[in-house]
Amino acid sequence: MEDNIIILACSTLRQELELVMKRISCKYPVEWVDSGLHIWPDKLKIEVQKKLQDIHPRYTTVLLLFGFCGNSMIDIEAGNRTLVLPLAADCIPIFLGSNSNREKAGIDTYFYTAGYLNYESNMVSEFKYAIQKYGKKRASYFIKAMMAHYKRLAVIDTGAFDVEEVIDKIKDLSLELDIPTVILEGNLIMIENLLSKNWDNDSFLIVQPGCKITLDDSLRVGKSLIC
Amino acid sequence: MHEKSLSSLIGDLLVDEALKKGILMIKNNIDPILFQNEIMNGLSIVGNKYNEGECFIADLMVAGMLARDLFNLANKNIALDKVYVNGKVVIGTIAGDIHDIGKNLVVDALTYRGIEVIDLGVDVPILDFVDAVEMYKPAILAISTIIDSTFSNIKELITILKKKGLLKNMKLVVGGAAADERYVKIEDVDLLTNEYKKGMKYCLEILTKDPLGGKNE
Repeated sequence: MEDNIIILACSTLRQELELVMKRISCKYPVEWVDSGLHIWPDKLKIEVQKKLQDIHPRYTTVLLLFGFCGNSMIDIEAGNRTLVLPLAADCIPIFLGSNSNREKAGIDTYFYTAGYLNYESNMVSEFKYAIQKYGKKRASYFIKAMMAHYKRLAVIDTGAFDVEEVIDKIKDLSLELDIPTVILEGNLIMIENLLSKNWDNDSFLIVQPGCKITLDDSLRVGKSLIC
Repeated sequence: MHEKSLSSLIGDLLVDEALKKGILMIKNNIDPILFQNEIMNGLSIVGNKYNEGECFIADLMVAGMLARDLFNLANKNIALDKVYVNGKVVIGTIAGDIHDIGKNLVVDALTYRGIEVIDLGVDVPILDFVDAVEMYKPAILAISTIIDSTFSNIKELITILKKKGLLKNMKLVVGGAAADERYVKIEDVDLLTNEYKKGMKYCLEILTKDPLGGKNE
């Protein structure tokens, strides 16, 4: 195992990353970034950049386990090290194994994992909050409008958490929206490839020292969906 | 005690009070521009609170839906003056995205001002946008997205529109949460913004001879 590599990862992916690291006996050190920040891309960007600057100079390669999450990776600077990250619009392709698996699941599917449910603001927590603050009628109005074009909820079974527990936590949302909950098979190959340095050009972005992540890099995510 | 304005009530997320106040203003034949400014200023306050982490997505959406309700109620009660309208708007959420609360709020607000809006819906294929532009010849084509991976679709749409010479007499607006002008630059887009008020102001300036920006600016 190379000692000049470090991982900087979003907490939403914590259970999955730890599972893969155990499976392939990866011992890279990991720094975590609070996952709730992804709803404010600016704050996430600032935090990621700050964490990168704070990483010890002995680490010359940083594996960034994040999706692009609403422009939040754009303008991140590599400094004097190499950055490698998955080409993924958000965490979902990382949980499902590829952008094409994400596309197959359909844009009208709303996804859950334990990490997403527990560490981030999401529609379950927002619905509960809205009931408390505005009452059931207005909360129902809000959630139905917000999720109007979603046809199903999906729990991605990544093998890293208890699926039934997550299904139980989202059942009120499923009932309120009157849409089914399905289980989709997860696939953590993108994480495994990231850790194993299998960085193929279609799935990973490599940012050389002195460079930064650009909008064109972000657009490659869209293109990899079309392919 | 000084009575709170509609914008303050919306900004404070006092939804029931804001609804009552808005209905009263409609009954009293409030000037449409003033009414719209009040609502947009209220939404801006909530938007800023959200950006500062002082409220949740639910608050943002509840405020947005309140605004939609008020525009729709007002549409039934106010005789609109269409003298100022200079053209139509074609609007839709680009292929790859199914979110539409922000887009719908724009549709309602423009309709409230008497502007004809052709709403293509969500997850709209690129060629459907092209067909709609050819058919309706709008003054503005407004494309909505909250997912940054859809920008490649928007770029493709613009390339086709340009090739067909359809950009000449039309303004192109890209809006939605992902449309952050600090990071996203797309050639031939006249306005790219994730700020509702800024987008509305721009559209109304193009579409009316009496642009928004009066008393409450």
